Amino acid sequence: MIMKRLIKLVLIVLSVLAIIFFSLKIENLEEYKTANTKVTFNATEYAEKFWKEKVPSIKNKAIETSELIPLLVNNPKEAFENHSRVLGISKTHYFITKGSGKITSIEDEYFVVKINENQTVKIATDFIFGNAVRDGSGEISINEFLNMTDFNNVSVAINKLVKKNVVRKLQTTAEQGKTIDFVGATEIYEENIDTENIRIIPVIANLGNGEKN
Amino acid sequence: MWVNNPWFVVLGESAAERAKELGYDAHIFDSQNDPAKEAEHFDNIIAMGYNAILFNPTDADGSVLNVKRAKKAGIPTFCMDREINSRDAATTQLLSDNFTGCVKLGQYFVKLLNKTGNYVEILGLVGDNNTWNRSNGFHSVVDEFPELKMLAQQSADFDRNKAMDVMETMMQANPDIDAVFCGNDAMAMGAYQAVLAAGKADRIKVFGFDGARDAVQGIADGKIAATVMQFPVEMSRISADLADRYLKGERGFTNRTPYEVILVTPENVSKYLPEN
Repeated sequence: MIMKRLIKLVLIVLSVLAIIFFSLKIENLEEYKTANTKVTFNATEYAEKFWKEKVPSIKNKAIETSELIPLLVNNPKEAFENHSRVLGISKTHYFITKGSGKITSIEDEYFVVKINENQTVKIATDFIFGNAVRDGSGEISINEFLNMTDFNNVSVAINKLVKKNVVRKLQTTAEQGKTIDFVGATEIYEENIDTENIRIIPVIANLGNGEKN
Repeated sequence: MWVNNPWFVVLGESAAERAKELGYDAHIFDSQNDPAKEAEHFDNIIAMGYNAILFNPTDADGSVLNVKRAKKAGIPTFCMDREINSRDAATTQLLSDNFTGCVKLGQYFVKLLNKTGNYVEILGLVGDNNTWNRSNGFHSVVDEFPELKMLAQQSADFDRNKAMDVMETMMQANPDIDAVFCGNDAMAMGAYQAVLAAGKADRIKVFGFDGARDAVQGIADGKIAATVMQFPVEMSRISADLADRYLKGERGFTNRTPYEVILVTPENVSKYLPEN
């Protein structure tokens, strides 16, 4: 009788242990932590830090626009190899460029700036999109980011800062005939080099009274 | 990968073909977009001791552990087209630059609609990063124009037939749609079928993504407004080359390499037609 009870008790204990064991899922702790730790990336903060720390000195990386244009016409290979940056496998080249000139017209989406007798560029004031500033700067590596979403959100946040910090002021103060000093980013697709329509997204721009040129 | 969709067939078969050219045996495992099947495949791959995995993940988060298990077993993984949310699990990830492609598409969309109008969006698989990179790239542009209003947004899982049904429902609920943005070309073709059946092909502009043959032909025929061309053959062949280089001792790959995509519109479509 005692033996039977003992066997019954052992079976019950084993059954309870079996239920507990099969109810549990055992995982490697490190793998679990990695899979469940979602750190929210703040692209706006990242872009503001970039703007504060990198943009003031970005001029040092810039090629003069008046040099870049003839180089793209006469020796694009040298322009791409020595002055541009490319993201991944791509034929789009990003340049940081600087110059100065006189505003000859103000359009809905850009100002036309004459930088010398033969050359004009467009300083963008609308359609500030894409990766020209992020990738042209050479300061932001894709390896820093957990995924493409975070990396791309940095471009969105930087472009918003361009609008907020540069374009809005330009739009309220620029006039035809005024001079402008600019540093900005431009993109050139190597199969369609159009030097008549160089479009520059400004990151630094200062207006003068129009005495130049 | 997912062999119900021709795009993924091209991706998988091109990778396998290149691996064979490089002297390897290659086997294609079809997860049918099912993370559970994918996990089983990884079990088999690890047990059978393959040298490398050219991988199209089913889920950006869920697939990370599978890749880590392979890594732990000494098998390097090379992600193609779809990414996983990890800096170091995969040896490298070669990815279409979906976001940037949709930034270009978004700008074209805004200009074609003259910055005003009503539109709907048909999303791909909601667990796939590509779905959101495309959608977010598009919205990073279009949302800056307040007179462009999104009336509805719904997933059709990258599936042509589902997209046709979704578009029909959206048109019934919203009779004044001017455009539809679809997360891939299969859905764009499904949406176009619905638009055509409703007699609204002249009004509703259809936008896709992928550069599929029928969508590119659709642009030439005036049925589709624009798409974004991806390059699955090149991407998969390069992934096989990277795996080969790794197996021959090369190290130090970047964790991700975006592959540029191209906006295809009526202005440049002739360059991308099959005969060209």
